[in-house]
Amino acid sequence: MHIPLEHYLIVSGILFSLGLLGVIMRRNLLVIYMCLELMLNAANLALVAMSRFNDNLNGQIMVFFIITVAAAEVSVGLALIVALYRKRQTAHVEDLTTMKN
Amino acid sequence: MSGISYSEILKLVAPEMLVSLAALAVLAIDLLVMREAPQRYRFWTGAAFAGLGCGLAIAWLLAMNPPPHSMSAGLSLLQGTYADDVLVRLVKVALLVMTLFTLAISMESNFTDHIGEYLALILLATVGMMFLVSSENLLMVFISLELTSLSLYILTAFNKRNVESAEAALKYFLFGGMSAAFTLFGLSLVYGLAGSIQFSEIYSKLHAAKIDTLLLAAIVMTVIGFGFKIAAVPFHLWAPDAYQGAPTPSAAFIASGSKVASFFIFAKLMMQAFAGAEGNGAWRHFTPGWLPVVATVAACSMLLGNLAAIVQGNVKRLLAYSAIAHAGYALLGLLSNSQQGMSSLIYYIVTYGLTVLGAFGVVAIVEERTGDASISSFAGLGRRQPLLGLCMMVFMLSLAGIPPLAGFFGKFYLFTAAIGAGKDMGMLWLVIFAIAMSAVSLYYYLQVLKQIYVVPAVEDSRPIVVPVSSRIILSLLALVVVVLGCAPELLLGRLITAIKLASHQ
Amino acid sequence: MGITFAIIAALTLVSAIAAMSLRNLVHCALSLAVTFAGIAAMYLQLDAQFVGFAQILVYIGAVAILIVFAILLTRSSETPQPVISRSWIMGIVIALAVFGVLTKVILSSSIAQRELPAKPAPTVRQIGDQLMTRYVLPLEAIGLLLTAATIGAVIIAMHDKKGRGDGGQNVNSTPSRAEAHQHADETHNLIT
Repeated sequence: MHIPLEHYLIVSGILFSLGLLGVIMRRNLLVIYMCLELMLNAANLALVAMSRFNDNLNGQIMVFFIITVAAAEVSVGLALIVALYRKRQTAHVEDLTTMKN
Repeated sequence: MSGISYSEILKLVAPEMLVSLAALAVLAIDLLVMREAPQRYRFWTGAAFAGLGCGLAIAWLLAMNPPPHSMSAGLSLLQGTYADDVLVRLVKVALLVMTLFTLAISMESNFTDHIGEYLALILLATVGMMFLVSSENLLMVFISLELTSLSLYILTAFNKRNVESAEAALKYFLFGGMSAAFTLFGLSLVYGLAGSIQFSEIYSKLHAAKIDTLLLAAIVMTVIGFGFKIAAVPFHLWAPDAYQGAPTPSAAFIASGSKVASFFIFAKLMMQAFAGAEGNGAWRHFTPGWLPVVATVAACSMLLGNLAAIVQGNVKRLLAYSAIAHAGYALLGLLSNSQQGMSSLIYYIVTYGLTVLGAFGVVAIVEERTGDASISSFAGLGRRQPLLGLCMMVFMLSLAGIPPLAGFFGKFYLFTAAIGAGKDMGMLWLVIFAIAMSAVSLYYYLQVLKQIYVVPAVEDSRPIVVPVSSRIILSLLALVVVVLGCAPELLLGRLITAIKLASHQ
Repeated sequence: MGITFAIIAALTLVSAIAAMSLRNLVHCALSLAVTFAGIAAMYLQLDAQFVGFAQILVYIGAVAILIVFAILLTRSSETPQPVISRSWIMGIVIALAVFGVLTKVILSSSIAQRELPAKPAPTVRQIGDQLMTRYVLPLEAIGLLLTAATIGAVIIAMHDKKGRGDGGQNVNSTPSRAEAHQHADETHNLIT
C-alpha cells in the first residue's frame, strides 16, 4: 500500500497555513521567524513529494538549494534580530514603531 | 551528462564574473590596503574599482554578439538557468548603469565605516539581478532572487548609528521571507503540475492541458510573492519603512535596480511559462487565469499607493508610496500581454528607475545637510541650491508624468499598449482608472515642488554646498530623463528590435 | 507504510502547532526541531535520502541550534506580556482561508490521481552529477549568496563600540576583527 500524493500535499498545506497563522498572530520576532521556516519547509515537502511522483530529480535539487539558502538567511535574520535587541532591548513586533508619521 | 565545457560556460557568464570579481577586489583592497586611509578616499577608491568592474561588464555586453540559440551547446545544457539574447543584454546594461549611479550617489555619504563591504554587497546584489534577468528556470529564479534580496536586506541594515535602519531591515527581511515562502509554494505546485522547472517545458505542458484549479492557486501564490518584490499591494507594507529607514543610497538601489530586475522576470515568467493560462481580465469578461489576478493587484496598488502618498510628511516615505503606485501602472504593460506591452513595460520601469535614483540622490544630499528628509526640510531649496532644486523638479515632474519628460512617454506607451490589448479594449476600465490616479498623484509631487520653490526656508537660508561630483551626477540623471522623454526612440526602438529578435529564437 | 506515514504526519503537525503556539520560546524552538525531524522522515519515506539527511544536518543541526542561541542572546524566553498580537482574529481568518482553498484545490486537482512511479535507485550520485552539469550556475550563485550572507551577518552583528567617532575607525579594530572571525566561523559551520 502506498501513500497517495495528495496526503503529502495536504500535510504540506496544513504546515503552510500553520506557519502563516503564526506569522500573523505572534508578537515575538523569533517565533515569527520560526513560523516563516515552517512555511518554507511546507514548500520543500511539496517539492520532494512532487519530485517523487513526477519521477525526476529537479524537485529534490531545488530543495537542496532551498535548504542552503535558508541556512544563509537564518544567519542574517538572527543577526538582525540580535542587533535590534541590543539597540532597543526588545524582540516584539509591536515595538517596531520608530517610523510612524 | 558529458560534453559540458566549463570554459564555455565561463565565457557565457563573463559579465557576471566581472562584476563578482570586482566585488571581491573591492573587498580585498579596502580591507588590506585602504584600512588606514580617510573615509572619503576609501569610498572613492572602492567605488572606482566597482565602477571599473561594471564598466567592463557593460562593454562586454555591448561589444560581444550573443551566441545564436541553436548553436550554443553550453546554453542548452544549462537547462534555461542562463538565457542570453539581445533583450536580456539590454536589461543587464540598464541594471549596470543603475548600479553605477548608485555607487556614485553613495560616494559622498558617511553612514558606515565598512565601506568595502558596502560596495561589495551592492555589486553582489547586482550580480543577483543579472542572473535573475537571464534565468528561464524556476530554480535559478529563486536563487538569484534570494541573492538579490539577501544583499538588499543587509544594505538596508548598514547604518548602524540609526535604530531605524535595523528596524527597516528587519521588516524588509520578514516580509521578504514571507514572500519567498509564497513564491516557493506557488512554484512547487507549478513544478508538480508541469513536471519541469524550465520555462519552455512548463509552457508546453501547461499549454496543452485544461487549466487546473491547482494551477490557479499556484499562480495566485506566485503573484503574491512577486507582488512583494515589486512592492505591489498585498505585500507593500515593507516599502515605506524600508525606504525611510534604509541609508538613502540603499533605498535608491532597492527602488531602481531590484525593481527593474523583478519586473522583467515577473513579466517573463507570466508571459512565457504561464502563457496559455492567461484567463481574461476584461471588464465583465473575467475568466480565471493570471490576467485577472494581476489586474486586481494593479488596481489596488494604484489606488492605495496614490492615496497614501498624499498624507506623507517624509519625502522618502512619499517616494515609497509613489513606488507602489508606479508598480500598479507598470503592471498595465504586463496585462497587455503582448510584445508592445513588454517593450513599454521595460521602457517605463527603466526610466522610472533612473528618475527615482535621481530623486533619492537629491534627498540624500538634503538629508545630510539638514538632518532629516521631511518635506519641510526642502523649503527654499530652489534658492539655497538652484541646481538641486531644478534637478528635483525634473524628477518630480517626470514621476508625475508631465509631457516632455520620460515619465510621460512611459505612461503613454503603457496605456496605449493596454488599450490595444485583447478584444474590444477590454483593459479600458483599468487605463481610465490609471489616468485618474495619475491626476491624483500630481497633487503630492507638486507639494514637494511647492516647498522647493514657493515656501521660504525657515531658520537656515544659507546656500547648501554640494560637491562637484554630486552635481555632475544629478545633472546627468536629469539630462537622461529629459533626453529619454524628448527622444524615446533611443531606448524604445532598441527594445522593440530586441524583443522581436528574442522572440524569433 | 500507511501507519508509519500517519504517525510521522501527526507528530510533525502536532509539533508544528506547538512551535507556533507555545509560550516559552525554548519550547517553541525544540518543537520546531521535532517538526524538522518529522519532515526529514517524510523525505526518507519519499526515497529522497540526500535531502532527507541534508534536512537533518542543516535544519536540526544548524538552524534550530542557531535559533536557540538567538533566544538566549535576546533573553526573550521570559515573556511577561501577552504573546498573541491584536490581529489574531485576522490571522485565524486568513490562515483558515488559505488552508481551505489549498485543500480544496489539491483534492479537486488532477494531480491527486497520479500513480506512484517505481521505486528509484539511490539518487545521490545523480544529484551530484546534475549539480556539476546542468545546475552548475545555481551552484555558483549559491556561493555568492553565502559570501554575501557571511559578510552581512558579520557586519550586522558586529558591536560598534560606543563613542567611536566618524574618523576613529581604527581604534577598536582588533576586538571587532576577532568577533568578526568568530561570526564567520559560525556561518561557515552552518554552511558545511
